[in-house]
Amino acid sequence: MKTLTIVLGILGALVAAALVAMPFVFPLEGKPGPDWVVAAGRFHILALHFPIGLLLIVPVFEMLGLPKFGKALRPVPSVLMGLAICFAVGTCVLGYMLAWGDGDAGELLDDHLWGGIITTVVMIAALVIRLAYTTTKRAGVYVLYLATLGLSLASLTWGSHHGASLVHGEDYLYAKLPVSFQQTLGVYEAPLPPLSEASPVFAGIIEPIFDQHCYSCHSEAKEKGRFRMDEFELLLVGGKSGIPGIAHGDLSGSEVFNRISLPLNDDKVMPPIEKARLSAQETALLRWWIQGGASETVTIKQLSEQSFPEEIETAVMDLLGVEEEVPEPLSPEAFAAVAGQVKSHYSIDLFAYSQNLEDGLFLETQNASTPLSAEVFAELKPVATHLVSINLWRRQLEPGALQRIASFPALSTLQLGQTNITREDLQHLVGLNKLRSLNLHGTAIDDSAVETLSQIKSLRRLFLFDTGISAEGIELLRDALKDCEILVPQPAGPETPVAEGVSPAEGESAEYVV
Amino acid sequence: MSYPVEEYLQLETRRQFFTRMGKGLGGIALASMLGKNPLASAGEVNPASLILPEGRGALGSPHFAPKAKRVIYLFMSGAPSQHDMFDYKPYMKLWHDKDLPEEIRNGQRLTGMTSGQDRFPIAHSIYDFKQHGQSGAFVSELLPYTSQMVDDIAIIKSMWTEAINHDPAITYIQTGRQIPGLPSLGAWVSYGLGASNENLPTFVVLNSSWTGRKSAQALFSRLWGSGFLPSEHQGVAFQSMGDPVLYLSNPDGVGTHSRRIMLDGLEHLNQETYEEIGDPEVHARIAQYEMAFRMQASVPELTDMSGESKKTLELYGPDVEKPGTFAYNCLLARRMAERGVRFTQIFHRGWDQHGAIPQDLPNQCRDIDQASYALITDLKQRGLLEDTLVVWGGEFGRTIYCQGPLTNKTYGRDHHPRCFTMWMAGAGVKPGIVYGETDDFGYNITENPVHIRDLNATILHQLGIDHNRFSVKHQGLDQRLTGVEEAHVVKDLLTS
Repeated sequence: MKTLTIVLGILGALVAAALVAMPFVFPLEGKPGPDWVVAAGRFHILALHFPIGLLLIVPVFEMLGLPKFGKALRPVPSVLMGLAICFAVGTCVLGYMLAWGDGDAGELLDDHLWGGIITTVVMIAALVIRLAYTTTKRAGVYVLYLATLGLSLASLTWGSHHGASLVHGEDYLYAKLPVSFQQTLGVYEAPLPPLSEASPVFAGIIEPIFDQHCYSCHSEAKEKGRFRMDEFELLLVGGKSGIPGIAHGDLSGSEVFNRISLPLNDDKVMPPIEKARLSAQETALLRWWIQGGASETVTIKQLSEQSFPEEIETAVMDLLGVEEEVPEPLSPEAFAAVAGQVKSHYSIDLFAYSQNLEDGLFLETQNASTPLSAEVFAELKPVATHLVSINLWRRQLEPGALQRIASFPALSTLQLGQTNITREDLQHLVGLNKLRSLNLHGTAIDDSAVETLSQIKSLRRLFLFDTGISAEGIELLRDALKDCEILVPQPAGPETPVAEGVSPAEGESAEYVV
Repeated sequence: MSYPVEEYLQLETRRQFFTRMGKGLGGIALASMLGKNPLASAGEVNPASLILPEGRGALGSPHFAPKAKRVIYLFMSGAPSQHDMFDYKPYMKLWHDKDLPEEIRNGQRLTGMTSGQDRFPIAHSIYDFKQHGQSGAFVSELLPYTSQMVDDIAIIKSMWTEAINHDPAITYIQTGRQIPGLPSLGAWVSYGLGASNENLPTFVVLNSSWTGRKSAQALFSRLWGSGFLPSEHQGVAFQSMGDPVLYLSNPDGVGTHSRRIMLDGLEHLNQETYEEIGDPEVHARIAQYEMAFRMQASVPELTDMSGESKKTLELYGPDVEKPGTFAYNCLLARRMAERGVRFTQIFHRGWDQHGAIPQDLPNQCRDIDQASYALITDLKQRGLLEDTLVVWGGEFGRTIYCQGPLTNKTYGRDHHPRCFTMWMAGAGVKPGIVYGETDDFGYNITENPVHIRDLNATILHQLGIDHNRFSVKHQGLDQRLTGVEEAHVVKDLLTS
């Protein structure tokens, strides 16, 4: 028995030393290993239950062995512990393979790793001490054994909690506890304030996207690829590749964006193939933020003033929970009444886009014979919120005719081509925040209008063909209205003339013999 | 169900009629309390339209919000050779002067012009093809200007039809059936959507001069006819020479006022005839006289191009100075688009190159190339391409094999309905795409076939019309432009 104890003691010491040495011999570099290592490592999740179960019943049998009639049970704890140690060693190795193969790294992982190794080492010690007690029968050794066993159980609890946190997330255990409990435990995190226009884009929009798709592998707990995204500075630094995770204003220099844009069959695509993709909307929001400078502090309002493409607008409105303002439904009778009225008074035509009046109305003025004045637009008041497009091509506008144009909040297309519109008239358009398309071709508008036009941030298409706006003015507008396509005359066609029809002369050699 | 008596009762009363017509001169139309057109079937007319102002067409408003408010259709009568213009088949160089394999022709019906040939030697195009623009579309050297706008247009290489001879084929693509007598696409649009500009016809047809092969297929007015629809919806064909519209000017010594008195008297007589026999065509006749009267002022203004800048004229090329050329007509079409003409169809003839492609085709292409480019560019810079749908194409395609002897000087191509190329642009058509594919011989479609019915359904769709719901009762049937066979809107060609 004594010999056995000594042999097992030496063996145990060797195994313990090997386990402790393992992380130093094969350091975790956060680089994925071969598939077979991962495949084997995944059995860690299965194997880990055995040593836990076995170790937990050791104290039970220890107690059952205390009374006289339990004498026969006294060797059982040693057997159980022996088995538990075998499984624990296996579990440690498998777990290490999983982490190494997956390229995992991070503080939480380190805690779990050392929790497992320490538990195993302490269990080995406990077993050896118990065996020593059975030979020496000294009470002091038994007490030392009980202390070691207690220590192994404590270490097991600590180590496996970190393991569970790796799988389920760190707040898994407390997130659903009553707030007062969480506060007592000091783990309470106040929910984010509701998103508003004044919220920073990063904290309000980008972080939640990262939280959902990225943090489970790239945060304090788990640092795959040695890349952490949960802190802004670290996000900029990037991971092992050395490429910045996010580069201010530089989409192609931002490795995060590059990785999410890779095709699905690329090994490097992120999130990994088995995880959910970012939605088109999330990708667009990320692109918007990076292109807009990727600042930590810029607010939604500030960034939207720089650039606010339609898809982003929709996405942000969704996030803000802003409902499109639905105007009062228009009755066919009200529409017909106004249409008949403007027709008979001014010979202008109010059309419905479709049989569904909710699609909006548009105004055509080709049949108008008289110059148009502000009164024309005043008569449209009952349908003001439904008017989507106005075509005033070539109409004479009386001074101030456009004064009331700002009272058409839904106006999206305005054709002012070849009208006598002036810079002052344009001022009335500044309040129209749905105006997408503005046509000023063939008007006397010149560079003095650039400033006014620059303020109509909602514009997506601006037609400036045949106006007085100079090339510099157009450059200024392009800078101010980043999402707006500005159409100016195109260069006329190619230089090469069309081939003349050939009349082959008699006996002429073929041009196209193959 | 509707019965003739009901239809008659639904027509405007005499008093309403005079109210409307009397004020027609001033362009004032009142809300009419009664139905639009007795032929309209109940299913398709919007109840709201019954109380809408005049001039809205049978649908009142489109079924759904349209992308296109108007159409310019550039029709290449005679069938342009896709093999020498768009459908590049480099592999055919190796097959030049070899016979078309029987398994490619696969029992295809041929025209009488080539069915008697001993052999069907493949004729590789002598024209160079290059890729152009962002889209990388192949276009031949015959179309240097079109090459520059491939990113603005959608080229469809997989058009097909069943008809193999000109008259049935052009009747088919224009009216939806090979048998003459049905309303044309433009007439359907005019009937459904009505006018936007009251002083110009809703559907205008422009015939162009051409410089290729002189013997060309005749064009019949039934190709822009109104069939069983009220005849005011037929296309108004402008003359390519002299006065655009004949007899529009008042005779010497007749003033506007006396012309008006004459027309009022004529209307009175016509109305009496109408009350006596109840033929709705009398209304159509009155409407046409009124339109002609208004056109006395609007057409000279329309065709007066003196206000066009030198730059614009240069864009369209030197031909634009000659009335009746394709270039002149394209500029006219742009002017009509500005003025709200709903449907403009420009016909360009002379594309039937059975022989002598190297002699005739370059001239045909030169006629249309710069002008088509100019039209797209001009519409674009004026903001009109957003809601103007432009369609280019012929009634079918041409064969890869040579008609007549294939010599080293020349070659010809016969009719080929199994595949041909068209393009569309503007008004919600995806710019810069090439749609559909044909096999290595350019003989059969291998990908995304588009039947001419699908094309017509798609054109109607862009105008906000569901081709399935747009029907008129005639001869016991709910007649539609797309007929009774399946037709699909080609969503892949559209932006959303």
